[in-house]
Amino acid sequence: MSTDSGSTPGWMLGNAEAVLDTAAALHTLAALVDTEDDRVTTSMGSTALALGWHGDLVDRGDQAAGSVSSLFSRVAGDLRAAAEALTGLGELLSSHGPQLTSLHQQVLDIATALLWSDLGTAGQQDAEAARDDLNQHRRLLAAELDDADRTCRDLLQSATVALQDLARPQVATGFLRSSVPSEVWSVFRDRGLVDSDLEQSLAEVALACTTSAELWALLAEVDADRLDGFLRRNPTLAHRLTLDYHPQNPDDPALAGLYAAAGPLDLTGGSIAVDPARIADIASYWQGLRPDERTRLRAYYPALIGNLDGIPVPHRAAANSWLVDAARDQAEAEVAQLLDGGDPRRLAAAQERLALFTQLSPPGDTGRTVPVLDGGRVILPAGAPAVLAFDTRADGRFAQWHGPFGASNVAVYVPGTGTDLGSISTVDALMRRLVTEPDTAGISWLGTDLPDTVPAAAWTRYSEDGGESLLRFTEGLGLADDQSLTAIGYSAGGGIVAWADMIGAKFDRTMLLAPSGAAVGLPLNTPGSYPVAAWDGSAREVQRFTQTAPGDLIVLAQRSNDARALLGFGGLTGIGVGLFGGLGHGSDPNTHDQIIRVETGRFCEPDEQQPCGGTRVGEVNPHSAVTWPDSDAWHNTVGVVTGGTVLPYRSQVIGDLFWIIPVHENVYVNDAYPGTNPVPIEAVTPTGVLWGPMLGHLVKDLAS
Amino acid sequence: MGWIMSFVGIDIEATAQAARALRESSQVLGDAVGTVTTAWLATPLAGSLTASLLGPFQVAARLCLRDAQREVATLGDELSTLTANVRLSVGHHARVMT
Repeated sequence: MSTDSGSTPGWMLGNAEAVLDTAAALHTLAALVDTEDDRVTTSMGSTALALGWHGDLVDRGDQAAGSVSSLFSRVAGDLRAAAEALTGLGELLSSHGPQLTSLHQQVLDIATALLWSDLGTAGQQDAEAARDDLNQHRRLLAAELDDADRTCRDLLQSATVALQDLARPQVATGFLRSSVPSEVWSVFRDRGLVDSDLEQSLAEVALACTTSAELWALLAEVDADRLDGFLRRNPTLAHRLTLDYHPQNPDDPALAGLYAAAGPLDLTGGSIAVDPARIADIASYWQGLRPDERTRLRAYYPALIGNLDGIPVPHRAAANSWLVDAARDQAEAEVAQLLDGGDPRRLAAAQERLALFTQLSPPGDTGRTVPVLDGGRVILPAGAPAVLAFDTRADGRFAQWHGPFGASNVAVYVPGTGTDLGSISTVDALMRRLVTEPDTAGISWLGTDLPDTVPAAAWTRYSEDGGESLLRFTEGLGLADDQSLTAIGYSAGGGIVAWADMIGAKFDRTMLLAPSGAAVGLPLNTPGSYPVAAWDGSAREVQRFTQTAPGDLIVLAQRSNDARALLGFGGLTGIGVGLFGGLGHGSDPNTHDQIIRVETGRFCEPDEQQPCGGTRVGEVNPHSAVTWPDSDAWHNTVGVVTGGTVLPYRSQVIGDLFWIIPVHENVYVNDAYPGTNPVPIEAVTPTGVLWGPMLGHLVKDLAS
Repeated sequence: MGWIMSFVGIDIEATAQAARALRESSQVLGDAVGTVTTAWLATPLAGSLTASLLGPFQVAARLCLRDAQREVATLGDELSTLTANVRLSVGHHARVMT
C-alpha cells in the first residue's frame, strides 16, 4: 500500500467550523477597530476645534478618514488579513475534510477485504487498483490542503510581523498621532495634551536607565504639572517606579522629610507599619508640602505613598493607580507570552491575575461626581477608582474606597478566612451595594494576612496583627469629626475588628458578623472589656453590634472561651491558658455586656423593608448567609452603618437544664413567628452577661 | 494667571464630550483585547504549519490593541483633567467677580 491510514494528518480531518468561526471573529474585530479609528479621529478633530484650531473640519475629516497610514487601520488590516488566511484554510478544510474522511474509510474497507476475504486473483487486482485510485485522490486533496496551510501560515506570519512592528511596549507607539493630520496633532502638543518633542527624547533616554536613581534624576527634568501625563504616556517608565515599597533616594529632601515624620517603619509583616502616634505627623508633613512636591512623591514612590497610613485618601488613591496599572499590564504581557505555548497552569494563573486586576477597581460609577484637585490640578478624576492599599506579593493587600469621600457614614469591611487578593472583589461588590445608601461610603479592606484555612483561623495572631493594622489604617483615613466610622468584620474579620476596638481604634460603631470572637477576655491576657478611651487617650464612644445566624458552627469558636472561663472558675485558668496559648479570639460576642446582639432574621425581596418575610437566614449556609444582601441581616448592617434601625435579638425559654438553667431558643426558629419590629440603633442596648441563657444556648447549639 | 489665560478660547463642552467619546473608545478597545483568541485553534490544527503561528499572532494582536487602548485612555484622561481645570478656573473667576 502506498498510502496507509496514518498518512493523512489529523488536522486535515478536523474541525473546519472552528477555524471559520475564528476567522469570522477576527473579521468582526477588524471592523470594530475601524469603527474606533473613526471615533478617535472624529473626537480628536472636534477637540482640536474646541481647543481653538481654525482648520477646515471637512477637509480634516476627509484626510483623516482616508488615511491609510493610521495605525488603527493597519491593525484592522492585519486582523483582516489573518481572518482571510484562516477563512481560506477553513473553507478548504470544510470541503476536503469530509472527502478525506470518506476516502480514508474506503481504503480501510478495501484493506480489510484484501486481508480477510478470498477475492480471487482478479478480484484482488481490482481491489488494489481501486485502493490506489483512492489513495491517489487522497494525496491530491492532502496536497491542496498542505498548500492552503502553507499559504495560511505565510499570511499569518506577515500579519504577525506587522503587528509586532506596531506593538512596541517600550515607547508610545503613536496610534493617536497617526490618526490625525499633523496640524491637528500640533494643537494637542501645543496644549500639552501629548508629549512634546523634548519629552519624547527624554522618554527614550529614560528607557535606558538601569537604576531608580538615574530615572528619578531624569524625571526631574519634567515639569511637575506634566509629570503624571508623561508617565501615563510612557507606562514602561511608570512601571519601573512601582516596585519599591521602601525607596531610598538621598537626593530627595521631600522623601527624607517624610521618613523623618514617619519614624521607623516596620515592613516585616507584609505591610508598611508605622507607629500610630506618627500618623498625624505624616498627615501634617504631607499637608505642608507644595503641590509639586506631592506630585513628585506620588509619581516617584507610588508603592510607599499609596500604602502609608497618614497620606490623605485621594493622594493614596492617586499613587496606587500607578500600582494597579502596572500589575494589570504585567499580567497582560504575561498572558500574551504564555499563550504562545506556555505552561497551561502558569497560563491559567496569569489569566486569573489579569481578570482580577481588570475587574478590581474598574473605572465607572464611583459615587464621586467631582474630581479631586491639588494645587489647581486634578489628581483623581471623578470616575477613577480609589484604591487605598495595593500589593500583589503573597496573599496580597488591598483596600478600596467606594462612594463620596465626604460621606457622613463611612464603613470599613474586613472579610474572613481565605480571603486574598483573588477573592476580595466579592467584598468590593458588597461595598458597592452598601454605598447605594445615601451619604454613605464603604471601604473593602484586606490590609492584613488573613488565615488561609479554618484550623489556621484559630490562631490569635491573626486578630492581633489584623487589629493593629486596621487601627493604623482607620487612623490614617483622617475622617472629619462629622463623619461616623463603622467597622464591619465578618468571621475572622470580626475578630480583627474586635481586636482593633480592644486596643482603642476610633470607631463609632462596630458590626461583628458571625465573628470568631470578641477579642476581650481569657485566655488572651487582654482586658475583659473594651476601653472607654481611644489608643491615644482621647475620648471615644463606640456602639457595638453582632449577629450570628442560628445553626452557624462559628458558635463553637465564639463559645470556646466560655469553657476556658469555667476552667478559670475551677482555679485551672493557668492550665487553660497554657494548653491553649496563642489560640482563640476572646469572649463570646453574643453575650458580652458591651455588645448588642441583633437578629439575622429572614431574606427579603430586593425592595422589601424589615422585618423580612422570606426564608430564614441560616437555613442554607448559615455562616456566610449573614453577609448576603436582601435580608434582615443585611438591613441590620446597613442600619448600623447609616444610623438606622436593627432587629434586636429575641429568644424564648423552651425548657431547662438540671431544672435550674433555662434553655433558650431563637424566636425565628418558629416559622410562624411574624418577625421582630425594627428599632432605631440608639434605642437598643446590650443585654449584659446572662450566664443562664448563655449556657442554655451552648447546650442547645451543641445538641443541634 | 498665565496658566488661566492659556484656557481662553476653549470650548469646554465639546472637549468634555470628546473626552467621554475617547473613554468609551478605550473601553471598547480594552474589551476587544480579550476577544483575540486564536491560540486555542492550535489543538485542532496541531501538526499544521498554521498552528505554530497562532500563538505569536495572538500575542502581537493583543499587545497592539492594548497599546492602542492605553493611548486612547490616556488622552481621554488628559482631556478630562483639562476640562476640570478649566471649569475650576472659570468658577474661580466667577466667585472673584461676584
